Amino acid sequence: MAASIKHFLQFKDLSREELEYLFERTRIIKQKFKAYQQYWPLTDRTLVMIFEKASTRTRLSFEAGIQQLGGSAIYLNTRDSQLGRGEPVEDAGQVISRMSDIVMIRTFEQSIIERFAAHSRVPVINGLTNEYHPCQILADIYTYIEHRGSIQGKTVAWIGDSNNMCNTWLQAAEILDFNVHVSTPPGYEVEPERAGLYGHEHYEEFKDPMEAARGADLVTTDVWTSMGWEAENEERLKDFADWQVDAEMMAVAAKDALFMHCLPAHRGEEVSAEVIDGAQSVVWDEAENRLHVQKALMEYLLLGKIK
Amino acid sequence: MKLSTQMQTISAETNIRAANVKPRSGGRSQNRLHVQKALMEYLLLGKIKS
Repeated sequence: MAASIKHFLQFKDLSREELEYLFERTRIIKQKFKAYQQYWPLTDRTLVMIFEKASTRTRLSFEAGIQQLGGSAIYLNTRDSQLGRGEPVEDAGQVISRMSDIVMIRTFEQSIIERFAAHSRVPVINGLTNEYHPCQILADIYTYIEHRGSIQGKTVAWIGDSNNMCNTWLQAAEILDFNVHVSTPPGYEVEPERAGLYGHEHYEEFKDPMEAARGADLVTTDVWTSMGWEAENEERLKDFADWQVDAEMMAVAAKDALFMHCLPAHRGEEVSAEVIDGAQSVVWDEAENRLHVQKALMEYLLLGKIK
Repeated sequence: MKLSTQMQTISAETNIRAANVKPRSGGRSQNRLHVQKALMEYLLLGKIKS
């Protein structure tokens, strides 16, 4: 078994130095894409994408991304794979990784992807688990940098559920040295152990979402009911009713604050149409940047640093 | 800086395909890939003179 395989299973798998390198590569790779400049460093490489949950942006961005880098993608969904049910995850990791060069998995518990990776001989990327969504946060931070420069020392306000996005923002804050103001309804608070945090220095919890947003450089949220929690939908609609990001909330954030949402969005629930479709929203850049950061990520995991 | 597929600076990870070539637990399933590639080549192109 090769000893030096690098996976991206959670945000803290990459150091600050590696993340800064990735963001710079993202800039270069995006520039090439915009200029129709052919760049095929991953010719003959095969990406296997395993989806146990629905996806639009993740499949599109990974499949388009590997093709634009000269490689190809194979899509497996729950019917084809059923990790841990059709065959042990460990066996799937052995077999799939022997026929491909890199694997992306969207699944339920983080432990599934960790077990797969432990038996994989190729890099494994987390395309979303119940606990983390590291590729989305890569795109979000790259988008922030594009619009406002370094995120170091800035304040991100997370309004809503302490879900996989929130957990990943909290991990990113520890590595890239920024602050997160979190406001969740009672009963939905951050679980530091589940979030995989080293400490409590980079985030603060607020009962009042307006206070969390006050002075923030970036306000962000997500759907009130994440994938896998649909049975709680009715209850959550009531619990989260006061946690909508609206114009009043954006007005107390910093004057040049940005709004982000990983999509799909429910206008009138977690965000008002006025905000998501307004001037401070960068949600379409955020969605596009999934493509570019993931290309940089695959390049790095497969080829290491390009000199 | 001009990068081409032939001139990439490649780290150790890229040799992963060649690592551990002696079949262990996954060796048999891996060889499905290789024999089927050889089969398709033969069925489509006939014998390749090497």
